[in-house]
Amino acid sequence: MKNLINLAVKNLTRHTKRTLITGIAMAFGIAMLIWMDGMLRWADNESKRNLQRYEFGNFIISTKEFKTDRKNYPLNFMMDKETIRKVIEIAEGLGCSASPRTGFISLLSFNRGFGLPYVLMAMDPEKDSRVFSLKENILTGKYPDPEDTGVLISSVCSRELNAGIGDFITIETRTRYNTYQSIDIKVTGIFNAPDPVVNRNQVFITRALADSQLQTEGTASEIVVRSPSGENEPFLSRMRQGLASAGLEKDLVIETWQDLGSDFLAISQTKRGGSRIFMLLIFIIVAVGIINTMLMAVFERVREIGMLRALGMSDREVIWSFILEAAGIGFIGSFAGVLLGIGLDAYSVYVGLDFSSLFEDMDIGYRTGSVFYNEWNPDMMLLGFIFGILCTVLVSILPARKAVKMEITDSIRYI
Amino acid sequence: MATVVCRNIVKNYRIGADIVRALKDVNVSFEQGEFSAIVGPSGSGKSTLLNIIGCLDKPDQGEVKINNIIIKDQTKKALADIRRDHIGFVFQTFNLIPVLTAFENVNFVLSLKNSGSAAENRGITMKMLEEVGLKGLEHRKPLELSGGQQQRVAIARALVKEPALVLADEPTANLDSRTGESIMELMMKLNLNKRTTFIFSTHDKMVMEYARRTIDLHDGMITNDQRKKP
Repeated sequence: MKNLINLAVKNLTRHTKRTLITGIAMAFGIAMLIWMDGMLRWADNESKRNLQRYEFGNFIISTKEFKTDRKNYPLNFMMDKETIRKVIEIAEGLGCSASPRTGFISLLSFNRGFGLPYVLMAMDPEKDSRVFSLKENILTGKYPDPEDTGVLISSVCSRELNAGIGDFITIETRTRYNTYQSIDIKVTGIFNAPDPVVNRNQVFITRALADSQLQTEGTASEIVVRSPSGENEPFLSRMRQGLASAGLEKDLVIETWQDLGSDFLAISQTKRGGSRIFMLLIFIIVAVGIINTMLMAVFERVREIGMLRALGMSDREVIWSFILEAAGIGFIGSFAGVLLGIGLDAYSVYVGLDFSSLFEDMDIGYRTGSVFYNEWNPDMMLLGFIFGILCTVLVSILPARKAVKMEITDSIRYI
Repeated sequence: MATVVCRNIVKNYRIGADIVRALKDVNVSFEQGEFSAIVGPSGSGKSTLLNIIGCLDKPDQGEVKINNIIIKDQTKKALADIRRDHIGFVFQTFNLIPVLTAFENVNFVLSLKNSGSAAENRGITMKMLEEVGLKGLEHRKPLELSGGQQQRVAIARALVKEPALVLADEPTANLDSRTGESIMELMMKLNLNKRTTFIFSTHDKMVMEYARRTIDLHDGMITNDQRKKP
């Protein structure tokens, strides 16, 4: 085998340019695979983190009726003050943070502009900041105080309404008792959350303001709970037990962030399938490059192959010599690809790529900001390296077998 | 003991609808240490006979024995082993591996055989290269050598594994007459020193003069088999 390896290595130097071009094509494919995987992985995990940090916490407790119609934010299935108090007490007793919220479907306008649909979310700023991370994303102005009478809007909303800090915007909505209500509220803060769903759909007021303007009277449609560890268990089970022992399990239900974000998780699963298609494309690039290079090698060495077989090299050894040669190209390409992939990964991990101009007004399905980062993916680097070599070995079998198909006597006379 | 025995060899080729009878009932043996030339015009069957003796091709009928091994019904792998262990080849166009040095070209055959340590094989290779007059040129690649030097490497490669038989298909055809003569003298010297059987095909009169036995082939049949008196 040592002599075959030696021969294969020497053969790689026959056409240095050809070897390099094939290797570069491979390297580029593998680097892209590593880079794309790192980015998709980051986007996937960041989306999951953001689902918890900006939309659902770990789990949400609401009435059964509210749950069935949650997307329409019904106001007739609210939890009363006493229930809210008990639920928060149970959650805090478990070490969790809990924040009551009520969403109102609204139209926002400014300066006689058309009303834009947003969900007006009433929350308790102190409690909410322990469950959600919105407070960390204030661009200008301030995060509301518990008695604040202003509205916290997103940068997207600010741009759409053309309204800034200090401007009074008009919110048209319905009160808890389904009466029409139109209120003018001063913009006191603008946030830019890395979750586009929140950025594009939600504005925030305090529960105190909702109590006075929208007649919520201390009620809330849901309580969002965040566990101290970030994991659902064992807090979810204990919360269920707590609700049961408080006699609330008949009226209330718990939905986890996975239940609530099932649409995203399904899309995420599909996107993972997409990365497999990407792998297949890389395989095709590698396969075409290697088959082409190896077929050229076989055709230009027909006489030499005949001579080697005449000298006593078995067909198996001839095939192996070509496979080893292809594996050599695979090694060069894969190694360079991994190095390039590490470089691209490093840039995206530390600097990131700003897709603002591309994705600002587009929903690409991820709950991330428009600056995309990468996660280190050593497993994909290893897989890409092995995959690259395996691909070359697999696809070189065909041309290698061709090398020994011809009769030795015909090979030796081949011109 | 005969190194090569060919009995009733028949070989036909199909070219389109026609069948060409390349060898017609050829019977010939070669004793150990013989230095023989198979001569005849183009298309007489010289190369076909050489290919069959070299286990590169199989006869349609008849039997070939190399060192008492019956070639008929051997598997491809077994034939490769026979070629590797018992037969050396010298080709008209040298057929060296261009990416290997002279040393590596010769040593490669030994490594295929998988016998002896790497150090032993290196020693044997160097000795062989010295014998063919290439000492000092062992690190040159084929393209850095003249035609005659390349053929010397090819001869060293054929002989380094100490085969029972060396087959040379028109070994001087690509060389000028002076270089051709020096190659023939080298082969003759090695034949005498090592008692290796040499069979070469040729239609070069100079080569025929070196041969101690000349076999004439015409239209696939032996028409004359003549040994020179010692």
